[in-house]
Amino acid sequence: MTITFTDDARAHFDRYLHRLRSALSSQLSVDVSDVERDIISHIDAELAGEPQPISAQRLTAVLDRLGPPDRWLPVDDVPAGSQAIGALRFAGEWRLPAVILTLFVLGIFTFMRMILWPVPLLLPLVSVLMARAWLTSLAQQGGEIGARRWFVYPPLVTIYALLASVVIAWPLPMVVGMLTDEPTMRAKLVGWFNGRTEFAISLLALGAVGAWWLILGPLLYRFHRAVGWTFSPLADWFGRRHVIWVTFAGALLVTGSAALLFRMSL
Amino acid sequence: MLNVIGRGRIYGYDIVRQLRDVDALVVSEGTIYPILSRLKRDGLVRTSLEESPSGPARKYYEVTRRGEQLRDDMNTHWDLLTRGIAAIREKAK
Repeated sequence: MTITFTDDARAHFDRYLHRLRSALSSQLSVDVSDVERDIISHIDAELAGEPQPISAQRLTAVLDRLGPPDRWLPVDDVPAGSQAIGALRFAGEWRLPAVILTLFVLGIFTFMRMILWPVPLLLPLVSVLMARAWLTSLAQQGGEIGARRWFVYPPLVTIYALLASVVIAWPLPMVVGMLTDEPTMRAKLVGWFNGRTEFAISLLALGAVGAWWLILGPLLYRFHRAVGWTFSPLADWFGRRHVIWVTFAGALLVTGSAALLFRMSL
Repeated sequence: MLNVIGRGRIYGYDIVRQLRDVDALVVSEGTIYPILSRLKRDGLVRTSLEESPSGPARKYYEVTRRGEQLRDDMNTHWDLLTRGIAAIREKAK
């Protein structure tokens, strides 16, 4: 942007853009980053000729004309989960975050005790879905999460971290298991890599992960918005430039491990 | 929206400015942009970015052939509807 804001105005604008992303992120029919760019361009066009820096008061006048982002879509387009959560808000600002955390903790407890199967799997899942719907609803209302983040984020961070590690690194245990458990393969590795089998297995596993990232790269490039949606609201920042880094890291792992394996086999 | 874009290319912000001048149209200006995004997704408009000397690159909108077809159909429908309503009002006088 060519315009400059006062600190207050900048903070206000950042909150508005956050509200915009939250309100539209669940809409597959709308390209959120596209709309965000349009809004930034709109603000720039509206305020470019005015004395700089732009005050919060002046910015607010423009944002008021744009209207609250959660009102930009017809009510029918707002996800049913968010509507239901909205209806439940009267129950108190802390009640739902407390329920979300309780379900998650109960899930962990039953999982550790291995009781009430499949409840240990369902409880964290329900907790995450509720947390997402609650956060969407909160953002649409323009509310601040405050200390409630300590109730809502733990389930999200834990489940997302598990999911992400499975998606990113599933070839690692698979290759290690396959090469370690298969005696004939292990014997071949001993011959190929002059006895340094464990190190070779590690390199092969890393190479497999790198190869997976090379496959994952083009897929994520095409469906990069799916990442933001899946890990919402923690990965709203994810874009195509991050996919390029994933692919680059994959290429690095493949070439690095291949080079080392080749050197070991000499 | 398709009528505002017309037959040429138009800067997104200018679409909002033109609609702002329509007295009877009471709508939050921000509503326009998600609609444009949907029109683009549905293949009714296409966009192109052009560098601007005074700010971020400007996004221009242009109606596709499919968009023109839909716009013409909807305009025909609108004309029929307004003529029908006018006829009813005339009778009521």
